[in-house]
Amino acid sequence: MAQEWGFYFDPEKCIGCSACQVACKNRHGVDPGPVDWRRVETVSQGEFPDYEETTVSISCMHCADAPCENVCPTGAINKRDSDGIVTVDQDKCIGCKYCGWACPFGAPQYGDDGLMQKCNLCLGEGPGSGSGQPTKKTADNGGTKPACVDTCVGGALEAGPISDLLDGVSQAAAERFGQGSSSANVIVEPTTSDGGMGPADITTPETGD
Amino acid sequence: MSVTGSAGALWLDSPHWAEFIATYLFLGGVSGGAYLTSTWASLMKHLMDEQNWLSRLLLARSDDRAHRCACAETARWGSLIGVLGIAVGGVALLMHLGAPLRALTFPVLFTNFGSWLVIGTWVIVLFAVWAVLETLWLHFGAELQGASGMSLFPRKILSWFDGVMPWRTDRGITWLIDTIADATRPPSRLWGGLRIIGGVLSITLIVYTAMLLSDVTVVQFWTRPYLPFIFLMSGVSTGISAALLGTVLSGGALTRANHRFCLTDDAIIVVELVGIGLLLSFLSSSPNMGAQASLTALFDTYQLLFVGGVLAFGTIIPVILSLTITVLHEFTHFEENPMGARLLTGGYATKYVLVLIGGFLLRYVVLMAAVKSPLAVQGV
Repeated sequence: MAQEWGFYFDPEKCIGCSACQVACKNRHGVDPGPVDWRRVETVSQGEFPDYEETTVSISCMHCADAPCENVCPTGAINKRDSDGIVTVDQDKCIGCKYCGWACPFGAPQYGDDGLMQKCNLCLGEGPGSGSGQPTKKTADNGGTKPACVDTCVGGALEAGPISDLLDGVSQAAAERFGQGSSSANVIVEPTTSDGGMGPADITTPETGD
Repeated sequence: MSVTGSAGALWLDSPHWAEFIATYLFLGGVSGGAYLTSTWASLMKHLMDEQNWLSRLLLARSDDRAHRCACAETARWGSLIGVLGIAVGGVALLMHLGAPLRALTFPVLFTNFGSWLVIGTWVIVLFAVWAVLETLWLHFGAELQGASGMSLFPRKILSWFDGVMPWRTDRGITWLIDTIADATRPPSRLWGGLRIIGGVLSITLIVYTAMLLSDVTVVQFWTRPYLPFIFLMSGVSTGISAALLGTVLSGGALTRANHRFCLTDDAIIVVELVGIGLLLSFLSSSPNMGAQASLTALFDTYQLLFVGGVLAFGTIIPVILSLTITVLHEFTHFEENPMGARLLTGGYATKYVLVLIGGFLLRYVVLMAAVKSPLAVQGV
């Protein structure tokens, strides 16, 4: 595989404004409602006065070994060799929702037509638009920034080839990503506000294996 | 990385499948189990004719006419339910899909043979072919003209059509299908071989309905080997119940055939209960938060359906009912008065109906109480 793309997220910079979520909906023409290709979730811990909330912005993680692709009966879901982006061809999707179960991140969404749609790293605009598109280019090379990245007010989100992203992250974030605790292509920056509890990380859940 | 209690967690909604898929999984199990029952009943009937060492071992006495008739009825009901179950189950699956018509092009479209949905589709297709042929050969043929038995209702419906259609002739639809059945019915040994293949297909079909779920490793509730084992037991049990419910309706409630199948069903239900117990034990000992959430769902949100529907009315009460009937049937003269016979017949029918309801509810709660392992967000 050539340059594998992914996301970078820094919870310290996320203010939980949900602009990324709305921008994503706007760019892809997703109607208001429960379908969200990207969403901002609030994770809470502790009890007053030691209570803390952190917001995290999550979408499709474009996993190295995408479970959604593995279960899709028709091959509508494709982990592209050229840039590692996981796309869905809605002309092949039968709307069985098997991918929805298989994905540990809740990325596959289903619109009124019952077909799967999800983040395509803005390879195109609209559901299924990423399929068949040429290799993703960085903004420096004439490509478009994903809407969520473009709109993020705090610079908490970045997207690009993993190797490029790793150049600009902290050593702790790079090490955690390198440990490969999950196949998700997302690099998460550690938080420091937890008094040394450890770096923040969005990890895949423990499986039944 | 394991999810610990000290970390914040993201819970993701995952109710992607509900009553349609529960129906599909249930009817897949019933179809496979009913076909197996049909095959076993056919074997018993065959052994009564052969009178060899195996028939003596299995006490297949040729002098028991009611037993022979019940075996024939059970075989016919089983194959017919195999066909109807997989047909209705297939429709239920299609109704759930976003693009059902597209799914009908599966021979071309389904290219990922690593997906259990593709494996299962082909198992269903092959099983359906076997079940249709078995039904054709058991329900049709010149020698069945004028035969009685409620299981033969399909040919009675077709005969009725032949009688009322404006183009009616002596050689109508029934005659045509009878002719096809007689022309294609294989010799006894070959038919037996085909039934063995069909039996393997039916077991594969039942197990597939669980493998489809247990391939989703982020749901611990669906984990292997517990769920496939439970579904296999439940599928065979509900299949026996469906086929023998037909036999009871045909008047075969007090025959040895029904009695034996009923006791076999009881044994399978007990083994299924052990499987459910092992799964619950596994979940309760698992540190996985998704497993704990599923347990909570089973004994809280879906308590009525799981504890009441699946465990009590779907398994335990049917076994108690069955054993009570067996005692009355075998050790008393209860069946000799008309009221007693009616009560025993009603008891058998009630048992089978309860097992079928329990089988459906099992699939339903297995889907509805499935909770994905949450995402761990450590250090927040």
